[in-house]
Amino acid sequence: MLYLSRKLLSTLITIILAAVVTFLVFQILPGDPALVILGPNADPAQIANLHQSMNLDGSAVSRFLTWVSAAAKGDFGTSYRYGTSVTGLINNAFGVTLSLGLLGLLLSVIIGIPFGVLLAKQKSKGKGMVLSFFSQLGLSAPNFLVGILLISLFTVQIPLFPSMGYIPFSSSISAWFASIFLPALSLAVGSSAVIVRYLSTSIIEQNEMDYVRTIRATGEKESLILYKHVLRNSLIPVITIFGMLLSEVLGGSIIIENVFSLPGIGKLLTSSITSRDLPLLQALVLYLSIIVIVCNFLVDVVYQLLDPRIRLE
Amino acid sequence: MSVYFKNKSFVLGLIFISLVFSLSFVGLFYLPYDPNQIDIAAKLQGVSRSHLLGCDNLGRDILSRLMVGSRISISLGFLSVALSFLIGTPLGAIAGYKGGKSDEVLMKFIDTLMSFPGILLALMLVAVLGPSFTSMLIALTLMGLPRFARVVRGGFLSNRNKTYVLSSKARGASTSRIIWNHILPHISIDILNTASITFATSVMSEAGLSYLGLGIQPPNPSFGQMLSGAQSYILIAPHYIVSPALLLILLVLGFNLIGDGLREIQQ
Repeated sequence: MLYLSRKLLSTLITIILAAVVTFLVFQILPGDPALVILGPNADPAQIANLHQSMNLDGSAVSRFLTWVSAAAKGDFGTSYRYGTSVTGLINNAFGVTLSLGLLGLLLSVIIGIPFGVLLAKQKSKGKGMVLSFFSQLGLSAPNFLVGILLISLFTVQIPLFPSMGYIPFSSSISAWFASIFLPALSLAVGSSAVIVRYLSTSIIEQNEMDYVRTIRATGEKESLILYKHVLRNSLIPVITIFGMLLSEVLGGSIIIENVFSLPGIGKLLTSSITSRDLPLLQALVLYLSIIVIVCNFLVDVVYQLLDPRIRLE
Repeated sequence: MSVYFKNKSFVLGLIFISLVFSLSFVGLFYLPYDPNQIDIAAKLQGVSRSHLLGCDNLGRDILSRLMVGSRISISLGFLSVALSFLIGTPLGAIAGYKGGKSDEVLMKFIDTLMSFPGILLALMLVAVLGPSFTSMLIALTLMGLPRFARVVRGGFLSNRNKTYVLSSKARGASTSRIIWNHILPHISIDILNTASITFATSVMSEAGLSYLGLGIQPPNPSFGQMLSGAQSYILIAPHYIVSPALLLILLVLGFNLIGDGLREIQQ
C-alpha cells in the first residue's frame, strides 16, 4: 500500500507539473490571440473588449489559475478556429485515437509474441538471422511510410479496405474495423518489432536460469517448458516496456491519423498548430500528457502486482 | 578494431550509412541540377540518363534534392547527438556517481521527459518557435539527452565501487578526473551504442515532422517532405517515392544495425 500511495502521489505531482509546463510554454507563443480570432483588420476597441473578456491582460499567475480551475471542471474554453467548445472537439476525436491505439497495441502483441518466441528459438541459425534483420527493418521503417505503402497496396491495387476516413464503432462494427485496420497495422509494425526484440532476449536469459535446468532434468517436454514456465517469466520485462510502447503508439498515431485522414486527436493537434488555435493546442497537449502519465502509473501498478519483488527496491 | 569488423550487424550498418553519407558528401561539391529548379516540362519524368533518379511533380531533379535533403538529415542527426551527449552525460554522471537525493531528483526529471512521445515534445516546440532547423534541433536534443543520462548513470552506478575507481580515489584523483578519465572510457561502447540509436531516432523524427509539414520548410528538400509530396503520385510515378524512402530506411537501419553490433560486441 505504501508503494502504491507513494506512486500515486508522485503521479499527481507530475500531472500538476505537466499543467504548469504546458501553460508556461505557450505563454511564449508570439502573436495576440485576439488578432487570431478577429483577423488583422480588427477594430482596436473590439480587440480591447476581447482582451477583457478573455482576461488576456491579467497576470500570468491569475490566467493560469483561471485556466486550471476551469480545466479541472472539464472546460478548456472555446476553440479559435472551430468556434466550439474545446472539450467537445476533444471528446469527438477521442474515440478515433482510442480505437486506433488499442487496435495498434493489440496487433503489436499478436504479431510480436509469436515472432519473439520464434526468434529466441532460432537465435543463431540462419532463419534467426533473417528474422532479426526483419525486426530491425520494422524498427527502422517510419510508420508514415508503412502507412503510405499499405494505402497504395490494400486500398488501390487490391481494394480490400477504404482508404480514408473513420466510421464510428456504434454505426457498424465491421466498417469500424475496416476503417482503422490499416492505420493500426502501420502503428503495429514498429512496436511489434520492439516486442520481438525484448521478448527474445528475455527468453534467452530465462533459458539459462537454474529453475529451467531443474525442470529440464525432470524430463519435461521442451514445448511445455517454454510455454508453461519460461514464457510466463519472460513476459514480465516486456510489460515494463508497455509504457514505452504506449507512448510510441500515441506519438505514432499523431502522424498516422494525418496519413489516413482520421479525425482523431493527432489530426486535431496538427491542425491546431497550423491555425495557432491556442486553447485547443494547450488542452490537447495537457490531455495527451495526462494520458501518458496515468498509463505509466497503471503499468507500474500492474508490474508490481505481477512481480511483488520490486516493492523491495 | 578487428572485433568490430567481424560483427555482421556492425559491418552491414556501416555499409548502409556510408552509402547515404557519400551521396550527401558528393552533394557538397557537385549537384547535377539546382535542387529547387522547377522545370514543368520534366514533370514526373522517370529515370533517364539526364535525370538519374527521375524528376518530381514540379520537374525538380530527385537526385539533387536527395543529396541536399540527406545533408539536412545527417547534420541534424550529428548536432542533436552531440548536444544530447554534452548535456545528458554530465547529468547521468552526477546522478550515478553521487547517488542519493541528486540522483533521485535528476532521474525523476529524466524519466518524465522520456515517458512523453518525442513527437509531442517536438510539436509543442514547433508550435511555439515555428517550424525551423533550430526548433527541430532543440526538440531532438530533448528527446536524445535522457537516453545518454540513463546509460551513463547506469554505467557509473556499476563502476563507482570497482577497484580501479577506488584505487585512483585513494591516490587522490579529483572527482572530475575520475569521471572523465577513468569511468567514461570504461563505458564508451555503451555511449557509442546510445549515440547510434539516437542518431537513428533523430533522422526518423525529422522525417516525420517534415512529412507533417512542420519540419524543414519548402522549397528546401528533406526526406519527409519528399515522401509527403510523392504520396499522391505513388501509382503514376512510383520512382518519385522509391528513392527517398530507400535512402531514409538505409540511414535509419544503418545506425540501428551499428547499435546492435556494438551491443553484441560488448557482450
